[in-house]
Amino acid sequence: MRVRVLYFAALRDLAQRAEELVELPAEVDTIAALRPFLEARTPALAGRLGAVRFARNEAFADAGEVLEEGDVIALIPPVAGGA
Amino acid sequence: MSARVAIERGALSSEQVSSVVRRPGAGAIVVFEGTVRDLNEGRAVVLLEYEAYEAMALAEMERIADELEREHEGVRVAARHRIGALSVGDVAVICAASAPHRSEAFEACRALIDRLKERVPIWKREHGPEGAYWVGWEDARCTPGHAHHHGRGPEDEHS
Repeated sequence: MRVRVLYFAALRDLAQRAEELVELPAEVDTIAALRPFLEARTPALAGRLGAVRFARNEAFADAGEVLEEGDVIALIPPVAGGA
Repeated sequence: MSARVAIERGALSSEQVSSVVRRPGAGAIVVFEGTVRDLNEGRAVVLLEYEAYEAMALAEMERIADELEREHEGVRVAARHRIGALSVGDVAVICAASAPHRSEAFEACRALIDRLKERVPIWKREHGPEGAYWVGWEDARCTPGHAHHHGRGPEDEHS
């Protein structure tokens, strides 16, 4: 299935892109499976996603959440809002 | 505009945010302003760039507001966050809460800013005399118990 992955802040600098369409192999079907897949796929992200939270379709996602075709996945580095 | 939550690119107004929650049944209105400080960990701050995952930031702010209005009897809340380039002294966020009595209003306003800081996808890039960096990123990447420099000064090491 294909999902859209969004990179923010420091991750955008590392990945050198703000977003991309990613074709997932069949076995990458949950948020938990997505993390190592993205680290392996983009060397600049290897070992850097430990403190990153995942959002699916504009809401924080649990590790076990199942991915669906067309999902928008955002990689959320530690947030710093609220002044 | 009387939306409960919003993200804006211009100067925020406490008057405007408090007016969203002001109503005849509220004997108390509490307003919090979060401003850009001149120092962060001893380093002079020159400029802060705030950016947001806007669609999700708004959705998460709405979720937080819903939670608080459910958890605190008779409370109404509102929040505005500014994004873009801010200087020392600029107001980055305003939270307001109203309630029949002050106890609930203070509690709800405090909870609003606390949850907003923890959950809303907004980041800031700090520009100081020694360069620019994403606040919270370098520290999050590091594991405790080792010493190295973050490029922020010779005395900057992990404890």
